[in-house]
Amino acid sequence: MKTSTTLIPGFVRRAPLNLKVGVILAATFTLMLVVAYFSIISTFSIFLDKINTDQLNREIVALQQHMHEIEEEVVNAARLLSYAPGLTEAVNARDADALRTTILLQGESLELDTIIVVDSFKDVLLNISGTDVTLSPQETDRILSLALLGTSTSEVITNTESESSIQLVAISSFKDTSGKVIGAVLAGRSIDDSFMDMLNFGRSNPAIALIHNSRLVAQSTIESAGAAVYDASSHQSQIDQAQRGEIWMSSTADSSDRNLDIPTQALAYAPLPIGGQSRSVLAVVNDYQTLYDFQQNLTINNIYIIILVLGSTVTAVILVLSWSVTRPILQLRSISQKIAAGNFQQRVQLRSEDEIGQLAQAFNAMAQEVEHRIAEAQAGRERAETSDKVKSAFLASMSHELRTPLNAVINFTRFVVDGDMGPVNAEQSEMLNESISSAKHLLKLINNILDMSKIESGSLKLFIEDNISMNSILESAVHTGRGLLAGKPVRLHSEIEPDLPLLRGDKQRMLQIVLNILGNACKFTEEGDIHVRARQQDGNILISISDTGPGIAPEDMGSVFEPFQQTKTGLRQGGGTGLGMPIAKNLAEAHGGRLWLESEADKGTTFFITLPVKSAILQPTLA
Amino acid sequence: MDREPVVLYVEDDVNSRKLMEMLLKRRMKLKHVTILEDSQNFISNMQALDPKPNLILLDIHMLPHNGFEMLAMLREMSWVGDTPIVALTASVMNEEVQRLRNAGFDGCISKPLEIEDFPDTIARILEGERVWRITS
Repeated sequence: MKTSTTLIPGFVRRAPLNLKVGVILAATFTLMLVVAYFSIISTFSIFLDKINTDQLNREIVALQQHMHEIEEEVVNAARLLSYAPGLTEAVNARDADALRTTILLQGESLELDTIIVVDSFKDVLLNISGTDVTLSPQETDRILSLALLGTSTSEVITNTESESSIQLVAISSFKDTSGKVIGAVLAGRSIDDSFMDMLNFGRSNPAIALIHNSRLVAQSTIESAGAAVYDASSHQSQIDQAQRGEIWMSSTADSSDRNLDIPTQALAYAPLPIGGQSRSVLAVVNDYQTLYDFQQNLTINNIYIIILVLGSTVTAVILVLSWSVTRPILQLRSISQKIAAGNFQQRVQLRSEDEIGQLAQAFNAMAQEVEHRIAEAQAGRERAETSDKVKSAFLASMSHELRTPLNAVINFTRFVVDGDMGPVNAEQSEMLNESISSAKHLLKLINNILDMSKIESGSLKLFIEDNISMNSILESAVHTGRGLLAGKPVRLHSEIEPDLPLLRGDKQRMLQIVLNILGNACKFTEEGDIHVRARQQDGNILISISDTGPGIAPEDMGSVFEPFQQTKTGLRQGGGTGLGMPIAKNLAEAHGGRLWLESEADKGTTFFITLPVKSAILQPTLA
Repeated sequence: MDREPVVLYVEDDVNSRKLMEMLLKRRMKLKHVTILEDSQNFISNMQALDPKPNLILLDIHMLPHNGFEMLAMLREMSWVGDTPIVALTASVMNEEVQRLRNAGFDGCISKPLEIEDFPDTIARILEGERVWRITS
């Protein structure tokens, strides 16, 4: 138990309940938020990947389509040039100027980089090259041969200067009126960076590049995050795959294949068939940073909103808990403390009917019951006190009313016996003395009955004094005892330690204790010895009174100290009320002492009394 | 004893008065014994006393003034001084004796009287001893 509480820091144990719940809620929400955040990010990445894949596919289709259109344009341009007005005449006439004029006029709006016109002998009649590079003569010768055979085609031809510079060319032959091929026209369009820009519809995203014979020949130049971010040489296998006609695409989910520095880019290699050849590959780099940023901002904004909502929720929970749990509990505590302090009218004021409300109701019911019982106990105590007072007053009045006539009975008789009223003869004297003795016995009985009543009603009051001499009490008792024994063959021995310590207690009652016991011993002992012994022992005075009387049978032992019970012997002996012993025992105990007996039938009885020298339970009445 | 005892006894019980009269006058042969049978006109009765008593014995259960009231009235009188005022009563339970002590009585003699010891008790009281004689 101890270890488990010490494991929890004090400030946690002391923290308010609503705060603890709030912290737990906040922690849970934060954890959920983190999980949700990463879940969203991961889901979005997959989603983005999918979007990007679709986008790239659409891009590839569009670009291939565009390329095809451009190729058609060049083919058409070659055909258009072969129908240029005056071409046949100029060729027949070998008029270079006229040829140039007619071709330039026809080709003005055709955006061609190269125009070559040859005759049927493949002699070049006109060669207009818009770029600094010239076509590879072998390839030009080959394609023109095809043209002169009447074929109309298009293909990619490398430039002489650089193998990484290519042109898209188309050819068209032209005939004279007899239908004989008299020459051919070649129209070429340089596939350079600006071509790529055009192919890309002038966009910056995606960035595209053309790879021909595994060489990068041109790429879009409009500034883009995707421009020149890939290294074609490291993608040889992917490029080869595209050359075989399959599209290869990078995937975010498979980042090992990406080889991209920027995580927000996707890359595809797609075949770009030109002129029936498939030596060209289109690289498309799509950048989705914007989308990514947008999503990021959206996520962050959402997180702000979520944090705001969760924060409000936690605050609301704390407030609700505070209002509905903590506050009532504190109120309950405060009311409990007030009730504990004796303010029994206090009640908890709670209107809610939830568990706390029910607790409060139960608490109030308990408080009601407590108040009721306290009031009852109070009333009971008052009743008991009143009843005790009434009882005490009755006993006091009874004592007074009985003693007053006995005063007259005893003392008038005494006057007569003493001869104050004239001479009395022996017989009269004896009878009058008997009457005095009976009256005194009656007085004693009355006293005993009143004492017992007081003991039983708990209204016995001791008159406590200090410095009571047990020696003088015992002396007086022994003196009385000797008087009682007059005429009987019984010796009364006093073995009292001199200078017993002075006691605190009720002198009169102490004498009563000793006299009740010694009186009995004198009464019941017919012959032999009575020993009164007293000594100091362990802070007590131990008094023993032993006789050689009839003793007390074991079956009577228990009844000796029971009020109104007398032993068989006691009954035989006659007289007495059976109250002497119980009163003596009660008085000894009221002093913090004890009274007990040891007896053997026919051998005698020993009573023991202990009285504390300075009883802790007694306070001097007059102090 | 410097001077002869002058005793005042106030008692409403006729037998007690008779008994005390025999005790004080016949047995002890005191010349100055005043016995009042009630506490009416107590103050004027006291003023009329001559000679003034040097021992006053009061019963407690009396009308119209009980022993405590009489004690209080006596204590107001200048001639009383330290004249012993002793209760002579049959109400001798501890709490009752306690009330007597608290009220300022100088002693108590219980009824029934022990007439053999009575003269000695009176002598001791007159010598200034405080006697709380409570016997069975």
